[in-house]
Parts: sequence; structure tokens; C-alpha cells
Amino acid sequence: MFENAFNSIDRELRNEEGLASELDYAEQTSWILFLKYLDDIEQERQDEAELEGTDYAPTLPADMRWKTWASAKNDDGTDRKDVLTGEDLITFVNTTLFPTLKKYREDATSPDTIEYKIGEIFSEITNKFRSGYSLRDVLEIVDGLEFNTQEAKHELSDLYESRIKRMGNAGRNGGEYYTPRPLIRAMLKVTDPKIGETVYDGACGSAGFLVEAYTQMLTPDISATDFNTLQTKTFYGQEKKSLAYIIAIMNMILHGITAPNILHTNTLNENVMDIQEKDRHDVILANPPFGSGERAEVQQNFPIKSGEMGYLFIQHFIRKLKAGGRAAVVIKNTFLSNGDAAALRRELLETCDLHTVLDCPAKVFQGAGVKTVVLFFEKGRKTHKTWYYALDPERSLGKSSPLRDDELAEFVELQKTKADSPKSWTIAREDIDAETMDMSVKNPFAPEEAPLREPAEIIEDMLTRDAETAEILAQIRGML
Amino acid sequence: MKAGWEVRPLGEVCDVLDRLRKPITKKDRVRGPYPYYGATGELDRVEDYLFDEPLVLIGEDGAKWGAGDHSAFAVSGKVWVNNHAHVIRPDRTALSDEWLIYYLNCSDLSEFITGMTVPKLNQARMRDILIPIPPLEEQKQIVAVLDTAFEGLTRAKENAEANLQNARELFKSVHASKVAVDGPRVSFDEIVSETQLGLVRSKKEQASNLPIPYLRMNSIGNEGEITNAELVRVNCSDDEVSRYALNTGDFLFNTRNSFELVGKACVVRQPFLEPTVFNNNILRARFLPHVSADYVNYYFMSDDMQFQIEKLKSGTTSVVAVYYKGLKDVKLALPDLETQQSVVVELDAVRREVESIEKKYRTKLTHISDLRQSLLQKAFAGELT
Repeated sequence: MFENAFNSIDRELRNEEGLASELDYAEQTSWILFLKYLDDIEQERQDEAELEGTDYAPTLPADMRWKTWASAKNDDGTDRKDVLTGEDLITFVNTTLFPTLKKYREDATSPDTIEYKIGEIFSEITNKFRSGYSLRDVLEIVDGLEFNTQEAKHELSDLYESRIKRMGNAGRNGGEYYTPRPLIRAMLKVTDPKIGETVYDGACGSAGFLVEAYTQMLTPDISATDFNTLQTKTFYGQEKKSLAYIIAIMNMILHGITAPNILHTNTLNENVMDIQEKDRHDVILANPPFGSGERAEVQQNFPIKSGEMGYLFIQHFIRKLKAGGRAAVVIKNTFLSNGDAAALRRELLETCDLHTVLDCPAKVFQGAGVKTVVLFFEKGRKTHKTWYYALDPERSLGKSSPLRDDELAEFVELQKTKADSPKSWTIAREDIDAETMDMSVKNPFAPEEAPLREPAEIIEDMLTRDAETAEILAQIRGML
Repeated sequence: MKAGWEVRPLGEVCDVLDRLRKPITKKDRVRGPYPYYGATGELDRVEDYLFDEPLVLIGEDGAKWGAGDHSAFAVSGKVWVNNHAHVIRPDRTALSDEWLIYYLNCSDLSEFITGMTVPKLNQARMRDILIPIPPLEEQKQIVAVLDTAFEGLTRAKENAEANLQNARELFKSVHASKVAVDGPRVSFDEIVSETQLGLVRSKKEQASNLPIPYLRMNSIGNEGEITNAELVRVNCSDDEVSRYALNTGDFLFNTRNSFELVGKACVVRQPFLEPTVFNNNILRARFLPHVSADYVNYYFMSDDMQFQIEKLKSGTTSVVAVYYKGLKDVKLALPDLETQQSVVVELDAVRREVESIEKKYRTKLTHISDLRQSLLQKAFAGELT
């Protein structure tokens, strides 16, 4: 339905000189879509209020409303004569629209309101369009999109996802935004969040985990109360980076969660000792950033200090889990073997039941050379044994051939019983070396690499082949 | 032309059934039992068919038509063909399918191809292709000869490729037997006399007209050798030259690169013609007198050492590093100097032999491919029978 529209938007964006990369395209598409979405919601609420005979105060003043500055059509569908375009449009957007919307953050009563969200979004991003004509064209295309039916939302969300995926492929930083969806779905099948539980992602990026969880938990026969719970009291995310934050909000909205509970904050700035029971969650899913990108001061917030962000996040997640809560977290595979992380491994095994480790092959994450594992743990019990599964799709993964759902099916199946198989085995807690705490992935069933043959044997084979070839060539000569 | 042979344009000896073709876009295809063909072969299986007889297909666009390319192929039974492959029914009283296919695949059809951005063999031009046609009996004979010969040649190619691989394996096997990894071990740190990271010179500081050659990581090969990569040149102070110039016996280790390439190493075995310095992604190590740099270089090729280095690779993006603080603790089993040196001599000799074997097999593969073409040409010139 909307594929052509999105492709047209892409074309305009590519021609716009102010935009340089997939990240820019996603960002700029987002704010325009957001305003249109907002307008549609306002319209719906206004119509409802009219039917009920109540008054509805629109969030945005008249001159900021989409139909005033963006839409090129009058209410009755005829074309407007006074459409803003060119220089005028850019001036309006840069000097009136954005600054007004930015102010909402200060004026909003609480971070949960739509006003606050609007203010945040427009504080974080800037308009990068330089040509009012390009912007005009994009506005026209977006004007034709509608957010009201389930089908429309679904298709829009798919298209938006595909743009996010492109960001994921956009070079080295792509991994920041995109975790392959088949991996997310497998993690969800294992943690299996239920309605009534809360799901948390402290490094939500583009909200992939939350959105997939919502999709999984939204059964067709869901009751109205459950639906409401799902919409408002289930998903919680935090994201530090502005661009990802915007994308996350938009992504959740397009998938049907109208008021996403995503905070624009740096999770690592929270002191983990301050986390209280009311802040805890039932299910945690995440792919936190790796590496040493954070300022040294944040380490104060954690009992086990480390320059590696992933390790700090794990400590955060351990404390954010309720007793009995389940978590699935992606981390560098060196976490299992690195000497620096031994203390953290000890803590994890003491406070939680690390029941499963999924070893992912290289290239699961495009653009990153690192090998990752997924840790599955439950709070409240110590670890007695850990089941390992070495994922091996038996092909090389790449941008055009990413990981698929069926390739994780065996993992999900075997995980239920934690059975042994050529790719899975169990390690007992007491077998882990107490000093090194080395938990690195070592498949005991992996066939020994075919031992190198004796040189004499190899040479024998080569000579046999040569003899055969000589015979064949002689035969051919005979035929000539 | 040989007696009894004639030359006819394709259009005269075949029916072209292009008008019966129909494409189905991927979205609309429903999986079924019948093969769906395009320019390069079978693309899919669909639930209906357009043709049900033996036919010859040749790519119209999206294919290659050079000598030796598989431009034409046979189909039979119930099939569906899209509009990217021509559908030909030869007049079998004059022309056999196999003969036609051999001829089309052996010939270079570029003179019949049109189109700049998308090369295409259109129907009209295809009909113009001239086919040499011997009497049907002779066609069958020649085809039989070619079939047998080509079967043999395919086998010969397989043999040569297998032997090429085995040559590599042979070296590894000899290497593993000579370079012992058990026995008393020392750490890398214990055997070096000095280490030095190279000079930093940005791209802007490199040019071909500056005085000092500057060795970068592309000069370190994957087999412990220095490659023939051309060296860029930089400016250096005299102090820098004396500190960073490379001598024979210097061991070079690539500390930063992509995940696959980092950790490659080599030894300088021949002196450079002029003083040459090296860059900061390379660590140079010089060893104590009882250690042979060439032996260490061979040691680094062992599985044991590769395994140790794998564990040291660190980094989350596409730049991965192995720092000295990790490298210094890798363990090597080091025999006495005399043993080291004799192993080096043996391995050098084996390596030379293996390299020459590999060269011979590569040449063999080229010859086999040439033979194929030559046989085909003789066939169509009427010289095979």
C-alpha cells in the first residue's frame, strides 16, 4: 500500500543535499511522520469529543497543526492556494515550528505526557532539509499516508523497520541501532513474557526488543483490559542517543503502542544501589553497547568497576530484575573468558541462575567483527548448571543473507529440555575453575579437526591422481 | 569447410518459439513441480508449464555469451520459460540438439550482442548466427567424442584442484611434524631483546617522491612472507631512520587490522635495497641470540600459536587489535638454536618444493581449460573425425 510512497520519499531524500546517510534519512523521515501521526491522533480525538459533545483542546496551536503548514489540501480535498514551499517553508520550519515544539519540554507537566515527548523529540533533532521544494514534495507524500487502520499501521511499521535495518547496515555504527529480528524472537520465545508482566530494555536503541515483544504478546483474542495493560503498563525502555530515541518512539508508535514509555536518559548514570523494588521488572531483554565509550565517572555507580560498558549494563540488569524475573542479554563472547570480568561472572552465578548461553557466530551483527553470546538468566536462585548451544547456520552470514528464524528453531526447541546434542552441552557450576571463572564456549562434541595426515600419505594420493590424469589425457589423445 | 558440411543460419534450421514464453514475477510465482527457466538456467519451480518437449534454451539478456560460457542448455519435459531465454526447436532431421548446444557454448557470440548497459542477444541477431552442420551421423559421432573427452577433462580438473589443495596440506603436515609445540615453553617476552612499534605517517605524509620507503601492513603476507606490495615513501629524520630502519632478522607482527587479518606476521629475510622504515600498525621484535627469528616465524604458523592469538583479538568494530600486553605472554616451545636453524632449513626447502608444485598444478588447470577449447574448435572445423 505505502511501499511506493516510501520509495518516493527515499528518492527525494537521496536528492536532498543536506542529507548524507541512511541515518539522516531515517531521522528526517521520523520527525515528519511523527507530526503527521500526531495530527491524525488529534483529529481522531477531536472527532470523538464532538460525538460525545465534549470539548477537546488540541495539543498544538492552530498554526502548528499539520493541516495548516504541511498539508496542501483543504478540508474538502481541494488544493490550497497558499501552500508554504521553498524558502518560506524552510524558514517556517527552522524559525517557528521547531523552536515552538522544543519549548514543550519545559512547559510539560510530566515526562509521561505527549507534550513532553514532542518537546524532547524536537530538542534532539534538527531539520536537515535545505530545499523547501524537496521538503514540500516529501510533505505531500506523507500527507497521503494514514495511520488509522490496523493494516495501515502494520504496513507502515514494516516499512519503517526496513529503514531501520538499512541504518543497521550503514557501516560501522549500524550495530548500535539494530539487533537481527530472528535473534530477538528466539530470545522472546525463551523468556516468554506474559501479559501483566513488565518488559524492560535499558539500552533500547530502535526499540526492536520491545516492539517484537509487543507483537508476540498481542494475541488476536486479547481482551480490552489486557490490551490496555499491554499498551500502557508493559513496555519500558531507556535510550541515551537522541537519534535512536526518536526512532524508538516512532517505531513503537507505528507498531501500535500509542504512548511509549521510553525515557531519554543514560542508563549508566543511575547508581545501581539506588534501584528499588518498584523499579524492577519481570522480563529484561537487551543488546547493550560494548566497548569503552563512557566517561569514567559512571563507574562510580557500580560495585564492580570496569571500562567496558557491557559489563556495567549487566550489573544494572541483575539489579533491575524482580525475584523470579527472567533476562536475555547479548554480550561480547569475551565476557565468558576475560580475566577482567571474572568477578562479574562470579556475581552473576551467585545472584542469578545463568541457565542458558547461546553462542552466536561472527557476522550475526552486520558491520561488527565481534563474536557475541546471549546470556539467559533468572534472578533469585544460584546457578547450578549452564546449558550451552553453539549456533551454526553452516553458511556465512552477510548483509544480503542475514540470520533467519528457522536457523534458531533448533535452539529454541532444545532449550526447553536443555538436551545434549552435537551443538549443545551442559556445564556444572562446580566444574568451573574457581579462580579463572572461565566459562568460554568449548563444545565437547565438536569433532576433532581431522588430524593432519602423514606427508607420505598425502603424497601417495597426489601421485595417484596424477596417474589417473595422465591416463585420461592419453585416452583423449587416442581419440583425436 | 569439410566435404558434406554446410553452414546455415540458425533461423533456417530451427524453429524459434519465443512467442510462447511468459514471465512470472517472483511475487506471483506459486511453488509447483515444473522447472521455471530463465537466462542462466533453472530459477524456480512453478505449478504450470508452457512447453512439453525437448528444446534448447539460450539466454536473451542477463547471460554471458563468450567462448566457453554456458549460454545454451537443454531442457525437456514440462517446463516454463520466462522471456529472458530464447526457446529453440532444432530441425532434428538436419541438426541435433547436442551439436547446437556445443557449438553455441564454444563460440564467442559477441558480434551478435547488442545493447550498452544491458547486453542482449535479440531474436533477429540470434537467427543470424551461422552454424556449421555436418551430416547428422557425423554430428552424433563428434558429440560422442566430445562427451567422453569432456568427462575425462572434468575429472582431470578435479584431480588437479584436489592436488593443489593437497600441496598446501602437505606443507602443513610437514610443518606440524617439524615444529614441535610440546616441550618446555617460554613466553614471547622472554625471547625478545627489543620491541618497537612503527612510525606514524598519515596518508598525506606519504608520496612516491619522498626519500624513505615506508612498509605498511599490506606488505605482510598470509604465509609469513613479505609481499611484493609497492612501498610508499615518507620523510624521516636521521634519528628516525636509525631507529626504525628494518634489518634482516627483524620479526614483524601486524597489531591492528580487520578480524581476519590481524596477527599476521613475517620475517625480513633479504636486506632492503635502501633503508626502509615501517608503520605503526606493525610491531617489530628482535630476538636474543639463542632465538632464530625464522624459527619463530614458522612457529607463528602453527595451530597452537594461531589459537593463542585468536584469544587475544580485541575490539568491537571492524578494527581489531592484538596488543603487546597480550602478545608478550603467548607461549612457544623453543628447542636449542641448532635445532631451530636446521628446522628452518628443512622447512624452507619443503616450502620451495611445494610452491613449485602449486605452480605446476595451476598451469595444469589452465592447460586443461585450453584443451577443452581447442578440442571444440577442432570439432567444429571438422578435424575431429
